[in-house]
This record gives sequence, structure tokens and C-alpha cells, in this order.
Amino acid sequence: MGSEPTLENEVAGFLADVHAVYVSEPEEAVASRHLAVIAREVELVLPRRTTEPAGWRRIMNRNRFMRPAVTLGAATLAALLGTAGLAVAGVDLPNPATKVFERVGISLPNQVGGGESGEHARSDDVRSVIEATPQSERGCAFGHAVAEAAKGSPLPEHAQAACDRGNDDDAAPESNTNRSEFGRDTAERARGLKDATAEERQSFGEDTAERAKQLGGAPEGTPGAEQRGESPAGGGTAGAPKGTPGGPPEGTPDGQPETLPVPEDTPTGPPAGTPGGGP
Amino acid sequence: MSSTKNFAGVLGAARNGEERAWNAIYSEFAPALLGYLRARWADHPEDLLGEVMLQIVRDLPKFDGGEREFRAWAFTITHHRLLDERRRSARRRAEPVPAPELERLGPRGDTEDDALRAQSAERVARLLARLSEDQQNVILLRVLGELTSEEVGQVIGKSAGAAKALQRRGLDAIKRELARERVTI
Repeated sequence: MGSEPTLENEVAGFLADVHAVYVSEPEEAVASRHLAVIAREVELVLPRRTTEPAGWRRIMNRNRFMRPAVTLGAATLAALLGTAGLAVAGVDLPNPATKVFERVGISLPNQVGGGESGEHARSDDVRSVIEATPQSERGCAFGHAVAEAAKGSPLPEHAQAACDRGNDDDAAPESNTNRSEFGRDTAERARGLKDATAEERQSFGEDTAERAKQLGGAPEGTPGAEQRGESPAGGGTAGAPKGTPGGPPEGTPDGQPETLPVPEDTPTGPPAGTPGGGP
Repeated sequence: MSSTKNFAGVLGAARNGEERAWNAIYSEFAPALLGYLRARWADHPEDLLGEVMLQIVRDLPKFDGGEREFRAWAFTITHHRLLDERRRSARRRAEPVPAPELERLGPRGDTEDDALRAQSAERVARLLARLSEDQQNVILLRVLGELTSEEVGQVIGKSAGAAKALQRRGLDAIKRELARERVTI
């Protein structure tokens, strides 16, 4: 039927009119009143959050894995900053702590070791010392210089003095041996003077003094005859009779004789009846 | 709402009590809900709309679904509120809407458009009045609520088949009225 499509169109038109007539936004005053009532009810019934969180918080709340990851990252960053802060404050950090920064090319300040970047610099310093020192001058001082360059800081004082002692030792290695034997021999002879007479003891003292002179003489400032009788405990000259030049024999390392064990019955001091006065 | 994702986000924000979300829900659904209340001759359609929105706020924690389910749920609340009011007033309008009532639809500012709109509104009301109560409910829910036959059945408490039958008979009645108008004109 020809009228059917037309009627269908009229029905469709009518239904469109129904929608257009009735569907419209509420008046502004009505809408405002409704929204105010809704807001009041929402506060009573629903959670009190009225504004959407900031972007980063929204992301963290929606992803349950984000918050722990961000917390871990913040803690790691705080640890790194704290470590760097300690370095700036002058704290010498252990190598494991400095290595973390050195892997990314960061050299922490105030570090004695200097880390890998410091090691690279020190190897250059060592090479410089080696290249700057001719073969003929590579003695003890050269070794010290290399050691200081490798360490990155000056050596202790006793290490510095080792070269000086070594120079002296290098100059007269044989006299060191003689002096040691002299000391041992003097001590052995002193042990045998337990029952010696005064004359024997005096002779021992003179003989010891003469032998000491032959070995190179005592260094300046060595205590003289005024201090006779003050024999060092356990010293090799224990038991030396009165008249023996005071002080350790010359050439004894560090001015002290070899410390040999002294027999318990070794007489100390001049025997009874020994006359006073100098030799 | 432009997309399912948008509505899900809005609904979630509304559950959290965000004012912006509730403003969006009101803007999206209030016009159709108010139109249904007007078309079904509610005594105070704006007041009823306010009550419907309050009930939506209170019952939202119990709601579970997407935008289509929410729309059907909102119209179900609206339909039940309308029935409650009718029981209270025991009044039913069968005659065409008198001209003063149409002023509630609001002038648009253009005299010619307002005149055409008023004429159209009167014709619509007159033709709908020829339908039964259930037929009007089904036609209006399909047209104003944009609901499916199944959803309409849930709103009015009938099966989908019954809703389809009511729709068919209602459209047949509208056709007869339109045909009669032709003859009359």
C-alpha cells in the first residue's frame, strides 16, 4: 500500500516530536537547587573527596604496582644523595659505596682512594714518576715516590726515614755485623766477671772502650762516664764494671745494643769495695 | 556519555563523591528523566527529579553495571517515584494538556518557534492520551529513555515479550490517530 510508507514516516516523525517536546534541560535555577542537594547528600553518604587527585596521584592510585615502585625509587634516590652528601662532607666512603657512582662516571669528592677514576689518575701519576726518574737514580727515594703516587697520598714518616737508614746501612754493611758481634761478645764477657776482681773489671772496661772506639766511636750526645752504673735492663753491657764509658757502644743500631737475655746471677753495678772516681 | 570508558570513569569518580562527576551525571540523565516525568503527568516533575537524584546518590554503592544498566536503573527509580506520587494524589489526566500547562516546557525566546513548539506539544499530548497507561509507558521509555524492549520490561515490571506487544499496540494506535487526522485535515 502506498500510504503505508508514508504512515510509517508519520509515526517516525511523531516519535521524534515526542522526544523534542519533552526532553529538555531543567531550568538553571532548578538545576542549581538539585546539584546543591546532591552535593549535600554525597557528603553524607559517600567519601568526602570532592576533587579529583592530581595527575600523578591518580596514576598511582589506579596502578597498584606504581606506588611500591615509586617508593622504592624514592628510597634509592635518597640513599644515593645521602652517600654523595657524606662524601661532600669529607667522609671517606668504602669502595663498594664509591663504585656505584664510578660506574656512571661520577667521581665523589674528598675520597682518599679516589675510586676507579682516582685509580686511573694514580696510574698516570705512577707512570709519570717512572718516566721522570732515570734508571741510575731509581733507588729508595724512587721507590718511595712510586709508592706515594700509587697510594695517592704521602707515606708515613717512619717509611720516609727508612731510606735514610738504608743509606747508612748501604755505606757500611760490614760494620753493622761487627758491631753486633761486639755487643754479643761484650755481654758474654760481662757474664764471666761475676767473681772478677776490681782490677779485672777495670781492665774489661778499658778494653771494651778501646774496642768500641775501633768500631767507629759513639755518636755525639751519648751519655758519658757520669752515667756509669746505669746499665740498661737486659742490655749487652750489663755488668760492666765502673769506668766503662757510659752509653751504648757506637754503631749499635738505634744507639741500643742487642738485647740478649741477661742471666739472673749477672752482677749489676760495681762490686763491693770498688773505689770511686773516674778511670 | 561519549564512550563506555568515559562513563566508567565518571561513575568511579561519583562513587568517590567527586562533585564534578555528579554534575556530569545530572547533565546527561536529568533532561530525559524530567521529560518522562512531564510526559507522564507528574504533579511536580522538578521536585520528583530531585528525589530521584537523591535516591541515585544513596543507592549508587549498590549499583553494578555500565551506562546502559545505569540508564535503565535511573528510569526504574523514576517510574517507581511516579507511581508513588500517583498513589498519593490519585489523579490521572486523560484529556489533552491545556495550553497553560504547556508553559512549563519553557519558551525558547523565538515567538514563531514557540508557537510551533506549543502546537507540536499539544498534538503529541493529544495522541499519547489515546494510548493505554502501559502503552504510554512503553512508548515513552523507548523514545525518551532510549531503552531496549528488555530494559523497558525491567522498568515497568513486565517481560520483554509483553513490553514488545505493548509497543506494537501502542504504535498501531498512533497510526490510526494519524490516519484519522489526515481524513480530518
